[in-house]
Amino acid sequence: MKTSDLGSLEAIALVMTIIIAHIVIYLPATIIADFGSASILNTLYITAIIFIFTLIVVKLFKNFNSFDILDIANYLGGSTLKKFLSLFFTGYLIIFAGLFIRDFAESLIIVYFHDFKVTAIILLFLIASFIINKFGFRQVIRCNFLILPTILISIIIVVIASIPNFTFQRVFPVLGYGVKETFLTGLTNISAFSNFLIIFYLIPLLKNKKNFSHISFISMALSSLLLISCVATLLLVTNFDATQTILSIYLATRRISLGIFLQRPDSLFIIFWILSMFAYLSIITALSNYVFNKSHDKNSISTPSLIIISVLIFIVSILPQNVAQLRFLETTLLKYLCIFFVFGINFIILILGNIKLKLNAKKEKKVPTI
Amino acid sequence: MNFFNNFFNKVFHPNIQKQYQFVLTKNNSSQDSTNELQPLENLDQTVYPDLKNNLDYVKVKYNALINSDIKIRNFSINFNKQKFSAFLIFIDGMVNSEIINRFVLTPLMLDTSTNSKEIISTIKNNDVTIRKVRSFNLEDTLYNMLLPQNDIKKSTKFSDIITNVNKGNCALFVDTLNCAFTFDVKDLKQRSIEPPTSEVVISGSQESFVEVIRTNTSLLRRLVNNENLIIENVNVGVVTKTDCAICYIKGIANDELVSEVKYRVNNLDIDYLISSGQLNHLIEDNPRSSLPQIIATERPDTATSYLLEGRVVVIVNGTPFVLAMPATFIDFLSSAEDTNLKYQFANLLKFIRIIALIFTVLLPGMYIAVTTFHQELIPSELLFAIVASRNSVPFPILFELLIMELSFELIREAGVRVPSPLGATISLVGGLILGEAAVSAGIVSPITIIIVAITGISSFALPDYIMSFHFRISRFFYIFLGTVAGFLGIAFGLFIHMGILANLESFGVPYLTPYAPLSKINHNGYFLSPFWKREKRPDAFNTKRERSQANISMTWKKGSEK
Repeated sequence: MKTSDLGSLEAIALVMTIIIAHIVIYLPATIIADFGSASILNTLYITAIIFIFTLIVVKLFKNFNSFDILDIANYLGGSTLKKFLSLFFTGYLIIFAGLFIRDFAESLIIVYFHDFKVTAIILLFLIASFIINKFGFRQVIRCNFLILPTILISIIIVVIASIPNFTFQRVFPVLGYGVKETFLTGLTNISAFSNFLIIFYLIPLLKNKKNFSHISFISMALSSLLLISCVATLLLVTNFDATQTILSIYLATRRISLGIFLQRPDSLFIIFWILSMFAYLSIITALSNYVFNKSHDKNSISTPSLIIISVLIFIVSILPQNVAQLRFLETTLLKYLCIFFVFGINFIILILGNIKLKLNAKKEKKVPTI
Repeated sequence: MNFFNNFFNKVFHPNIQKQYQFVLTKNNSSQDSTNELQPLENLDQTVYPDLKNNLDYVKVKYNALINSDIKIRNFSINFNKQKFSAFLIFIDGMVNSEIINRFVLTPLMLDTSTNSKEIISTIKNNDVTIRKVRSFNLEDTLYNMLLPQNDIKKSTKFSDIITNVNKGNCALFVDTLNCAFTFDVKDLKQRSIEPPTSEVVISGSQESFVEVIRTNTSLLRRLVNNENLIIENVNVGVVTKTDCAICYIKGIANDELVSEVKYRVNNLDIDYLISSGQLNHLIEDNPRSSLPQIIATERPDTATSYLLEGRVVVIVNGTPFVLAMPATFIDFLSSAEDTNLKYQFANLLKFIRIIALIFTVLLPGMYIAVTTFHQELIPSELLFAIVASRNSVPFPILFELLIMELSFELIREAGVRVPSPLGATISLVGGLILGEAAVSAGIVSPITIIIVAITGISSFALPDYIMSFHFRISRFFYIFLGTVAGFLGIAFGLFIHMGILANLESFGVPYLTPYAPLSKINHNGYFLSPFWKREKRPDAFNTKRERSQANISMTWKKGSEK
């Protein structure tokens, strides 16, 4: 199965799906819990930073035509670095997916499915992800592309329907717990844009490689818009304390009213949040499979690695013994792992790759491109 | 002792007779040892110069002694006071006897020649005229002078001759000639062109295809009205050699698509092909999928519009439904009426069809999910009403719903099978009396009847019968998933369903195009734009001619501006 035919909109949808799943599960609630009334300000702040970061990354990628970060790692440190990076990437995604799916399953049990076992729900998600991935990478993208608009529409409905419940006094004090908290400690909140990771691997998948910079900026702009609106909605509708228990977006839907016929629309919206999780998990599985296979110079998705990845996600998901452990892992381990990997290692490899390219070009007295 | 036995049998088993028992034994002929299909006749056998040999050959081939409709007419050809033995072979009921009598037998049997020989050249020398005359050639004479037919073929192979006779033509064998003549004297009884039965429209054409391939090709030719319409004939089936016509418009249809269709149709190793439905199963990309991947239409205008969009149409002799390929998901949700209506009305109908699709697939499953897992979704008053209506029902909701769904399918199937005057009675008995009685008896609740009725009616609103079938089957899976895991199960089903749809392709075109993968919609999406805006052909078909209209198609408007 060839994977290199991703259209611009499909690529944007791919990046968006990750952040949507994070928004649905925990992101706005975590930001509000950490920064209180300054959550909107903090989100705007990290949005500005992510745009600067995107600008730099796009510039650095420019010299490497159709290389992704794995190819650059290969150029920089040979196949060892490439394999190490791909293993790290796959492991990171597996941990991410495993913990999120567990979190979502726990939330579902709390909200609707009291008699269900958490493993049963996780298995259901993994089976769906496995089946779709078995069809192929393209099918995962197409499926995701169909689901994304419905999820976006439902988020927009939630935001609009929540407007009557807005209490604008909740944004005061504007600086929340203080300037240092909002802007210095708040810098770590850049991990909210963990979906940026896909940007590092996107170029070889694109049908038109020239659109890479547009795709990067548009996907980041839409992600930040979505994040800001969801944080604002949750902040203006709920108390800070109530945000740490269950699904972030679910909290907002609990307070909206859509006429008499749908008494509790939140239970209808749950279909869309579940669909977003299905899409998220299938994309994460497909990407980790793709990267893992690419490090072994295979351009196709193989079934054995798909099985191994699915099993590993399942194992990671059942490792936390309770919700408290899960929350801790999500808010600390994953947060710093994301900063270290997405905004650290990848970025450093990209810079070093550029330096090597320039040094080589100087030796040969050429324009530094590949 | 025998006496007692006989007496006993006579008293207690008076009608005992030797019981007749037939057992169909397996044919152990040598042909069965190989799985490959053997041709039924020796394809290479050529016509013998000796008439008797030819006669024997065709008699054996056609089992003329037991086949009652095979007619062989022996006679003598009279020409230039010479006689030549000959025979005609044709199938009674497929030929026009009048044509054979008047335009085949009469010219051959009655010697109308004027004894004139064809003069090639004339030389005059000293008042002596020397005429060079063509020597007599029976084969040429028959072809050029004695058979006043517009469609006549000379064949040397028995396989060609037999195929032609099977199609309703007549074959003439003449002594000393190592060829035979076949001519078109067909008179196949066929029904007239009638209004369509399964694709009824109010404001469109009222013609539908018939069973005869030539009538169908003529219907297409009449509508396309362009010499670039190519109709290529192919025979499918070792035994039936069914005529199929591959139709496309040269200069519009993609060459690779045409080649692929030809490749698939030409490479079918089968004994028989009776209908276009069978061909559909044999050439679609994923035959295991219950989703239709090729469009079947009985409307010549719809088939014509498919041709003009750049698709390929295949006609199968004997079926009034033609196949159009490639097909996408949205094609099966579109009706022939849509393009005849104003786009606003058509879009309203298309929107209703989407609602119908959602109801057909999801309503029963959602009902179970809501009543089992998500009761808080519906208002308390309605919930109380549902609970009250179910008080007298002893079965679980799944069982209740399955009873009603199966009953509905039974009524539908019975309504299709019974003679049409009884159809209304079946619906009345099934729909009203059975439903009412089931509620009174406390077997099902009224709300279940409403759910099943809405689902059933919605399934009728889907334009394509096969697609409707697919969703009717899917409905049962969603009922199961809704029962097991509520909305989680339904979302699981939806996700897998979308994956299955995304995985399908029809002749290289993704099934969900132009939405997934996203391609240029060019006003050819599910919802219709005004006709004058539909300037380009569907992008996914990669047609040779991209535009179907000028940038400003209503040039009269430009004129008025001037």
